[in-house]
Amino acid sequence: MNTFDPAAHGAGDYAQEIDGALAALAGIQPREGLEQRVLARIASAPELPWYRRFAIIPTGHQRWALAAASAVIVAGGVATTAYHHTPATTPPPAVVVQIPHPARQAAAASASVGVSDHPLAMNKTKTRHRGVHRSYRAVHPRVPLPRGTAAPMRPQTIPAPQ
Amino acid sequence: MGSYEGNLTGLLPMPETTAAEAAPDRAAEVTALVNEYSGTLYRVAFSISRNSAEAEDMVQETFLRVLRHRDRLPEIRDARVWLIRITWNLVLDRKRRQKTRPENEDISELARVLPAKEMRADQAVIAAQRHARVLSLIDELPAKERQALLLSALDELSNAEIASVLGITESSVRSRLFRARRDLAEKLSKEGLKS
Repeated sequence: MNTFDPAAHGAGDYAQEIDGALAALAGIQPREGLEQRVLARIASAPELPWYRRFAIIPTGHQRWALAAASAVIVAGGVATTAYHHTPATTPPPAVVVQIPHPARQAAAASASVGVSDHPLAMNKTKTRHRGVHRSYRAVHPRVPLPRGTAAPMRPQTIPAPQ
Repeated sequence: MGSYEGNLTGLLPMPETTAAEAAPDRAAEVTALVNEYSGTLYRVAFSISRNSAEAEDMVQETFLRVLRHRDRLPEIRDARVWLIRITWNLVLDRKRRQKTRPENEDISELARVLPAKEMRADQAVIAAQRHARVLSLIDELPAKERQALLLSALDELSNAEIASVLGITESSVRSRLFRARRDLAEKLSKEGLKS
């Protein structure tokens, strides 16, 4: 039984009022024959098929828990499927390493406009590829410049002061 | 209410998986539960819904659920608390779906249960209206306090049983009851509603 001391909890002035209302609520009696009506309803209730028995969730929070669990299962299934699924795409192209032939490269270099054939010339094509192939160097050895030869002038990019 | 006792065993369809000898026992068990706890469950439902038809509907729904899960009956330790919990959740669930308070609160029900023998008819109506006003103030309390207070109104339930129904500790029940009473007294003092 609930033992509550209203005076000790500051509700003493209104305890009688509160208790009266609660007692009225607790004194509610159902209409005569409630048990018979309940039993009749039970007896007339159709038996649920097996799949609907699982759908009966008596409480609200259990329903939320079931929904959350279902969401987790679905998300897990989708994630697993996505992990194992390999898309039907074309295989990646094979990497073809093209090693330039030294003679062909030399011909291409000499054929290009503005590219010097001289080994010491500032050849963009050669510098871009970090030097020539050693087989090319074997055919065209470096020739040291004679002493006193000026290095080729770099183009003047800074404008002269007015 | 012994007229239906035993009759239900022939009426209720039993699951095929249940043992033949266990089926009549279960049905008789459900019948016994109906006879014993219908009134209590009605009061539990009425304390929330304040509507006699709805409360009765909830009692019937409760026992329908019990019937559907009758195979679990042997596992239930305290059938009374279990039943109250089912009814409580059903009523709260329905109330949540309705969103609003029902307009047809049965003040007549309150007037019916008051000690009318000691009162004149007009006094009984006035008293019922005062109780209805207090109950409407109870409805304005926070949900946790309100639920504990309404369950405590049922004399059949101890604090431990209220804790079991609400799924909280017994000390939480006590503190919620304290706060509910204090807040309700404040509301009553603001309204100047005093006997």
